[in-house]
Amino acid sequence: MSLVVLALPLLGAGVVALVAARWRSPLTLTVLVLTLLSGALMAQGVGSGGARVVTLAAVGLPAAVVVEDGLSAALVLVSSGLALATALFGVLHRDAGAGPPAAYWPLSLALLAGLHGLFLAGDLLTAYLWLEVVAVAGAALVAWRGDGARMAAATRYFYAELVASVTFLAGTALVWSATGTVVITDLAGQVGDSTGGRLGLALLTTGLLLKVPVVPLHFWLPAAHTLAPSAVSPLLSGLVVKSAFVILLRTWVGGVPEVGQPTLALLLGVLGAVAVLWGGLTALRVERAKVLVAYSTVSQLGLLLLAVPLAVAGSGEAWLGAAFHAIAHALPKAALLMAVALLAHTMGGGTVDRLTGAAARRPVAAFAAGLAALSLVGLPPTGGFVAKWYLVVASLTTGQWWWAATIVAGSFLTAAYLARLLQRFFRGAGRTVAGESEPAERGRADVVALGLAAAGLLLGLYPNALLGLLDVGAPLGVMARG
Amino acid sequence: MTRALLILGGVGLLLGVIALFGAPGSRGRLRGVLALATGALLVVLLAAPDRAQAALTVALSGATLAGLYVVAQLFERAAARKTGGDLRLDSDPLRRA
Amino acid sequence: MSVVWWLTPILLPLAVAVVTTLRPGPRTSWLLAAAPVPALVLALAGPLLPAPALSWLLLEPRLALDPVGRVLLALTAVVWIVAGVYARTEAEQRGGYVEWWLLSLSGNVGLLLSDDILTFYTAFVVMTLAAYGLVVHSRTVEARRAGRVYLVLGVAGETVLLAGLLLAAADAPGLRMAEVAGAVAGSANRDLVVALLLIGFGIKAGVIGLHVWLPLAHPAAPFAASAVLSGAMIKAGLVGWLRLLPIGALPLPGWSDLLVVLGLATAVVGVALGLTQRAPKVVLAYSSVSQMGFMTLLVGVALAAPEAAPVAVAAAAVYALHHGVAKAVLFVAVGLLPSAGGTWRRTALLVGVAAAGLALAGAPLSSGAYAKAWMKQAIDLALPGTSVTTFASLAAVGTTLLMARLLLLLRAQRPGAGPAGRPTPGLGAWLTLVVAMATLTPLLPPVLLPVLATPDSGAVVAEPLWPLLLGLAIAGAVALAQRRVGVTMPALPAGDLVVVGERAVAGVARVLALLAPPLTAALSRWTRAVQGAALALGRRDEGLDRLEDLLTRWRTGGAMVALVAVALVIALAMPLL
Repeated sequence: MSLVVLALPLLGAGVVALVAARWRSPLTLTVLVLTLLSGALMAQGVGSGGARVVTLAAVGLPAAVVVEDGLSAALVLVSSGLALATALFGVLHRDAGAGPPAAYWPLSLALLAGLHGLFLAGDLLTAYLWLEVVAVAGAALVAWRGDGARMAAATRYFYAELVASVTFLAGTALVWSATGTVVITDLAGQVGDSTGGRLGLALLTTGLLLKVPVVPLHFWLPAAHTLAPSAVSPLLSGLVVKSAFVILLRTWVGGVPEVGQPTLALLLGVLGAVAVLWGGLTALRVERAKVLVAYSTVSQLGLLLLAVPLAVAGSGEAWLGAAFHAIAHALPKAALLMAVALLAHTMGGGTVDRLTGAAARRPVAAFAAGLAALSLVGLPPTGGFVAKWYLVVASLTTGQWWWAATIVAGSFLTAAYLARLLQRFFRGAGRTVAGESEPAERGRADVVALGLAAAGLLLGLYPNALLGLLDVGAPLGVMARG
Repeated sequence: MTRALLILGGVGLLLGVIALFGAPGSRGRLRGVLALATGALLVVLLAAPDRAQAALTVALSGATLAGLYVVAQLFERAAARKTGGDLRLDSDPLRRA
Repeated sequence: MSVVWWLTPILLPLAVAVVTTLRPGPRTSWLLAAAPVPALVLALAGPLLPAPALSWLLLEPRLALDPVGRVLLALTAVVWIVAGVYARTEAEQRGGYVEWWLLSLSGNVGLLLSDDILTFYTAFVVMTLAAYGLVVHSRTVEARRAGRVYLVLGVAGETVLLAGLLLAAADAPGLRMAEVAGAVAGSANRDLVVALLLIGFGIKAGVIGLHVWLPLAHPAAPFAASAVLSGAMIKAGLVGWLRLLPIGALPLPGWSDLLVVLGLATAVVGVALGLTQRAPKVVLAYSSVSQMGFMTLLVGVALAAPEAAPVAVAAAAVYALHHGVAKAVLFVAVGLLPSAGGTWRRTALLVGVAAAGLALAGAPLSSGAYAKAWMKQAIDLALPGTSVTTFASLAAVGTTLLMARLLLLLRAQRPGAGPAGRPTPGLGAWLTLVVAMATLTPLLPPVLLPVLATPDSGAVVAEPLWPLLLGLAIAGAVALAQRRVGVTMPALPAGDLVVVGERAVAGVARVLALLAPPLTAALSRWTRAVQGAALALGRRDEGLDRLEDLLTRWRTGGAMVALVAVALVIALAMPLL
């Protein structure tokens, strides 16, 4: 099934690019529905049949490895669903009179194919190829039909991705030469004291950290995520940032944890902690709502990175928490971005102040934003809570309580900056500049945002299905033991 | 010999990063991309464990790197058209917008 | 399927709360009496419906119901149903009542069904906090004061309880009640945990010294709420003790002695304090304190000898059943009396009060006689050859006195017509409760709790006779003395010790008022300092902005890529050096 979830969006992108403009959106939605179904079948197969590694031997090349485990299955399923929801949002909500440009449809399918490739990749060379696909499709989606500022943001984004890809490739090559393999799980115990191997790991980790990105490599993210069209930024903030992290997690936890002990793990943890705090502090001060959400992403990505030192130390809860957070963050973040776009559209501007009283004008979207915020803060019973719970447990059981303190501090910051936004939404009656109150607005796009936010809540109410799936084939199984 | 070439590749990467982030205009940045791609290609060429794999891997990564260069050119051109001149990347577009 | 049967008792009250909030009024208020019915069904059907596994819910709550739990659940359901009938009139008057009522009900049922400490504690807290709304419902000065005292002691109790539960759970293999109780037995902190649990639940159960909120709060609420507070909710403390103390695991002679003595003291002091009261509802509240003393005593008995524990636990549950129903009969009757116009209604109510009073005093063949007989079985088993039974009988003399006092107070009350325009509530539900009082305690326990041997006729007819007659004789003598010599009872304020506490607080407040001017000056100095710091931070904000500006600049980005790469190389090369 893994090849189907790769081939469907990839072939779909090619076909959609060739057909006439008016057929593109229905065709894309069809492909996305089929991908979602295949993703569900794959998740079901993994859940019942266990993890599977598919090796595609190619002449003259190192074998390409596809890993069908709980992590990849869950991520494929969620990314297909989120891509479908975002495409629906694109159809239902028109930013400035017009829907997404015709190029949006094939590009978003190509992006999804690249993401699935990364989630499933079991070797570094395949990962490199899919990183390229994601970089080009993502940057092009930001740039398409953009004005000067958006173009500049997209170009920065693309260059950052390019530098990261090239660094990753060079690192991969060095690791390959030192160990004779690029298959991540085969690297275990192979790197040892070889200088080339360690240099390669440092380079490819640099590339991945730039792609995630982590503070202080986040220079390209706020602009790209903020200026991207409203049917693109949910994909970027929800999914794309997670793809590089998955490779990072697989490399350092499933691959060569012994090499990372203890210095690199500590460095990654510190970078994550800095990201959590810096992203949160900046989100507290920015003026535009969408920028606030972008810095929230920076902060939440730091949380993912925090899990690496814990998982490297052997904590299965950390792996589970990180994987759960990657998913539990995607849904509400996408919902929040959609809701902010809708509210800004209604209120005629996207600054935090401008959105005062937006709840009265567009109640469904504001409610979706509130629901999403609960999950992002990590209040029970939301998915965010489950993820943070596992991370805190991991940091306490490994005796590294300072990460738990950072996680809690990050939650307080998240609550503070999101409260800043939500307070405005629910303050006062929605009034126009002229002073008269206007009737409430709602559209079908609001329902999409609400659905995603509700899904984030459901993850918290019924976490066991996802937890059980994520545990299949995990390098550090938790659920099976307990 | 191999080690010397590897170091050359590393220097190419470093120069590429410096040019890409330091150059004021699009021409300098594209040269930076070129240097990056060449450096990476050198590293791949020398690092591949055996000859047969090296050839195909270099071909593959060469193709993708060339593709990246082309896309970079497209981006620079489109940006130049939109901004009506050489695109400047110094400050965050958010703060400028 | 059994999930529905098990969750409805907890969730139906919440659903009813939604319905009655959306559609208040007589058309929906009957639901108040219907909401506890699923709990009764579950209590009766118990073993037919196996407890469901709720692993799909967050934190995996566990539910269970043993025979003791079924007795207590039956009691809770019956009291809430009948009280629900009489809560209708109150509920239709002022908003908010229904919601607190139903929330308390959900918490009360939930804590009886829960089998893990998280669910139990949550339900306990929900019940305690929601009942505050019932206590302050009338919004009078007294109700507010009662509410304050209730809340302070309730929250203090919950804090102590939480500390105890956390300590206990730290050593437990899981969070199930039995696992935690087992861990308490072997814990290094055993005595500390037991002390915390005794205090935490003791506040709810009204152990003497911790009882001060009870004579204030129970009478302050509307009478239907008093009935559930004194009849059902007060038993939560007992449930906590029975479930979480290491009963049956090992003998704890020290704690056992303490609880037995405390129980007897509570029984006696409760009566003594109650005799000084004038308001019938306050008398009833002190009677509850006194009766809870007997249940405390039984917990002490259960801790004395593990082999006697099952009998003592069963006897405590039966005593709870007996007292709960009788006390609900009394509170409802006392609540209905002022508005009972007709002579026969008044007579019926007074006869009912007399019957319930006799039952509490343990008159022959009454529910009290059975409950006390089983109590003595447990005492004889665990503490043979001691004078505990004698003391318990003496306390029963006190109960007789207190009930006589109550009847006299009620008889002296001037009957008045109910407020105009309000239909006087019928006596049907109350009469059902009287029948339940007469039948449940003698009939239910032998069915559900086979450890209790059916008492012989001497234990329920002859033995309880002398405390009753002695009590009646003393009551008659005192009444005669009052009439002839003009001796009057000393009157103590309700809530006894609270008054002392409140005076102390007032004193501290006066001292603080003297100290206030220098303190406020210092405070304003600090405030200015904090404001200054905040302003400085605001200026720093610009610094942070500038830093973020710098970080997002293109060249800085390049430098940072190099910096991170170097840092990673160093981090990975370090182990090699």
